Amino acid sequence: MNYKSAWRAIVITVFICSIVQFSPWVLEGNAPYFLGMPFTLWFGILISLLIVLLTALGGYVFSRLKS
Amino acid sequence: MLTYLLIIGAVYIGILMFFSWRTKKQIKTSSDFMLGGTKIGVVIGLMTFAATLFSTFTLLGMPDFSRSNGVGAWIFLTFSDAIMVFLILWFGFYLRKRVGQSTYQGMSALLQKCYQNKTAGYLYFTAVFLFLIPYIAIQIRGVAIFLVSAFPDFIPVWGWSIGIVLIMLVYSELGGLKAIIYADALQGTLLLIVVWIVAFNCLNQVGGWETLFEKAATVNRDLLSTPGPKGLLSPQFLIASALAILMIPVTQPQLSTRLVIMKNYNALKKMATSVGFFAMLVILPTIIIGMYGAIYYADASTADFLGAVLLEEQHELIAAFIIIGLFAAAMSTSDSQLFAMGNEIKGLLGLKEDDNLRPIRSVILLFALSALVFSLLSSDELVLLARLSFSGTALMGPMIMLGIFSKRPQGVTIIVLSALALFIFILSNLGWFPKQIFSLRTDLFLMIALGFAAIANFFILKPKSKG
Repeated sequence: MNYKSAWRAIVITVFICSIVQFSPWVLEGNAPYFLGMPFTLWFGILISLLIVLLTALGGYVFSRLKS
Repeated sequence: MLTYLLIIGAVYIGILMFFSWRTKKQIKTSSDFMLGGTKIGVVIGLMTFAATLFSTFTLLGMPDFSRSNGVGAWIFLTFSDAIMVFLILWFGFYLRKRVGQSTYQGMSALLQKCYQNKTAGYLYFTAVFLFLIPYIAIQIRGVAIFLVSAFPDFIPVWGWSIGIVLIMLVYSELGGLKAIIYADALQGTLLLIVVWIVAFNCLNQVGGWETLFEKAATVNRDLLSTPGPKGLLSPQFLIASALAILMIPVTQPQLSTRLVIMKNYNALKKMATSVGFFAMLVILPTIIIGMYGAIYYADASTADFLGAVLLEEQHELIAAFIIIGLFAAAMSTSDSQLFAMGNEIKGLLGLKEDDNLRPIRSVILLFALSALVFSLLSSDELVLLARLSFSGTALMGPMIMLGIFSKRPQGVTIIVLSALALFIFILSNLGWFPKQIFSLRTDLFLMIALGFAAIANFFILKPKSKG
């Protein structure tokens, strides 16, 4: 497996997540409520969770890359 | 409640002193005192990092912040923490590589080594001193003001402040960083339990999770999206905050020290992921408490809202635990910050392993007294003052990262630019410099400009590959 490409892909994904989260269209919230939460909160939780999971995956890939 | 508080408080302080007594016996050198002597594993690493990261501003500041600004508070703090833990994977590796097998003498000394320039270390320490002392002070003040409103006519603000600083100094000066790390494990657990007890109580009172947001929408629909009722959480504010929070493990010495003393990189990466989950678990209940406050205490003052939701609406035993939890939150961050500044001074003075600990202990005492004095003079805006501290130290981020990622000294350009940015940032906060530059917030503009300057510096001075 090419760990360098995998690490780059993870970094780019985190960067894209950040751009999406901070785009005014997403920030200012017609998506329905989800689990009783308004869009701004459930999307924020989902994207934060995604980045933490990418951190777990990134930790594995980066330690292989720098083994 | 006072009886419960005295009993739980005595038990809590007893446990702290026990940790100090146990670890005091293991202190042989100044590094044992300043760096805990041994490497730490994932669980203790998680608890000490989290307890140091989440302070009074989490338990007192965030509920009030989300009460005023709505659910966007999640993006302000949790999303920023998520990208921060991702950065730890990368920065932690290179920081540990730079430190290598030698004893970590603090970021100031490391920068002097990276840049082969004394000024880099002194500039970093100046920024840390200027922005960490107020941060320590607002934590002490936050708890002291809360306690005065809980027990009026009992002990004044200065009395509680002195008490907090005194307890903190006794156990940390006796047991060193290892005592602080053990205490952090206790304090982090306590913080998590306490904040969820209050949140569950709020949900119970309001009628459940879905009702919470339905009722919040009827009070003010702006609570459910950004920029929030006050218009504070604009994209620029959130991006500048995210950059400032992203830089916390890079620029705040109490956290960069913890990256260095982890047992190995494997433990570090697991700790980073765990801190990400811990952040979500700690901040979600503060949003719940804030929404509850927006429904029932929309017009109450901060002190009245926090006094009601954290004390009056709770069983006396729980309220006593909450007060101890607040003490714990304030002390677990402040003691680590004071200690980290002591380690920075140790590095700048070039003290060796077996040197006398007295100068370091005196410096820590001096910093604690400075924070105590500042706590009696500062304002009550916990979250915004904390953010100011993050932004001020974040300006040192590009200089630190350039020094650590480069294989050879990078000249004085970034040092001069960082000093200039720090000066402009201070002037801007004093109102003597515009709050915006080219329609960008001044702090955001300075961070972006320094970031680009560091990248340009790196590529200009990068050795050209042969062939």
